[in-house]
Amino acid sequence: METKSPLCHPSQEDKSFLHLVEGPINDISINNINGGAFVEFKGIIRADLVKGQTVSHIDYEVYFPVAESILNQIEQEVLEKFQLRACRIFHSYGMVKVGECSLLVQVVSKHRKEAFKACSEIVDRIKGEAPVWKQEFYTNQTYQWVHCNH
Amino acid sequence: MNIYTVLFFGASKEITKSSKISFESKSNDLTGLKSDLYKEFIELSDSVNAIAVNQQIVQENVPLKDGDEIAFMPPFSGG
Repeated sequence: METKSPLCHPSQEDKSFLHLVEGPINDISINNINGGAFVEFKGIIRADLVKGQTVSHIDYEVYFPVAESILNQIEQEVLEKFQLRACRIFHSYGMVKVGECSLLVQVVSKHRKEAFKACSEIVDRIKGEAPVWKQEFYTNQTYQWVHCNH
Repeated sequence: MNIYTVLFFGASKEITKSSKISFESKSNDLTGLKSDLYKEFIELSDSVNAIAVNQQIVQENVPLKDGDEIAFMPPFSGG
């Protein structure tokens, strides 16, 4: 583990991103659901114990224009594939503390099965396709970059 | 000689000690640029999992021109 990150985020020239949120994601209501099924997934930062150190927060680094484009593409493709009534993705960048939300996926469909499948597929695709990197910080001020395999 | 804007993310920028550099190279394609860059930063090739040229992720060699933006990206870990 390193002791201090010497590097900051790349400059963000355009802040008008629809899917990327600075810091933790608060509850976002979805209007005009026109149901049947509304499935929501929230990714919450865990206080994992890593090599004897407890996670305090995660700093998310994002390749902004590419991440925004890919999240939008995932949203549109899953919307069409499962014939959803609505689909929204929000991902954090910057610092998110333990217990806070860093990923929010909301799906509305006519029936529950498509909604569950669509939500699961979106989360899997985000992890595999979106240029986002986790820098995990611990309570003793050390950190490491996380390589996800789940 | 071409000058490329090269971006690094995550663990890759720990190797280069920078998130953005201007890199001079005679190469006119991605394969050549990678070769030149990996000579400068020997450990970089092990950490890179995806490359984007002008904000488009590419899977194979593509031609490059002076001023292009090339991003070297380690495995993604979002979510």
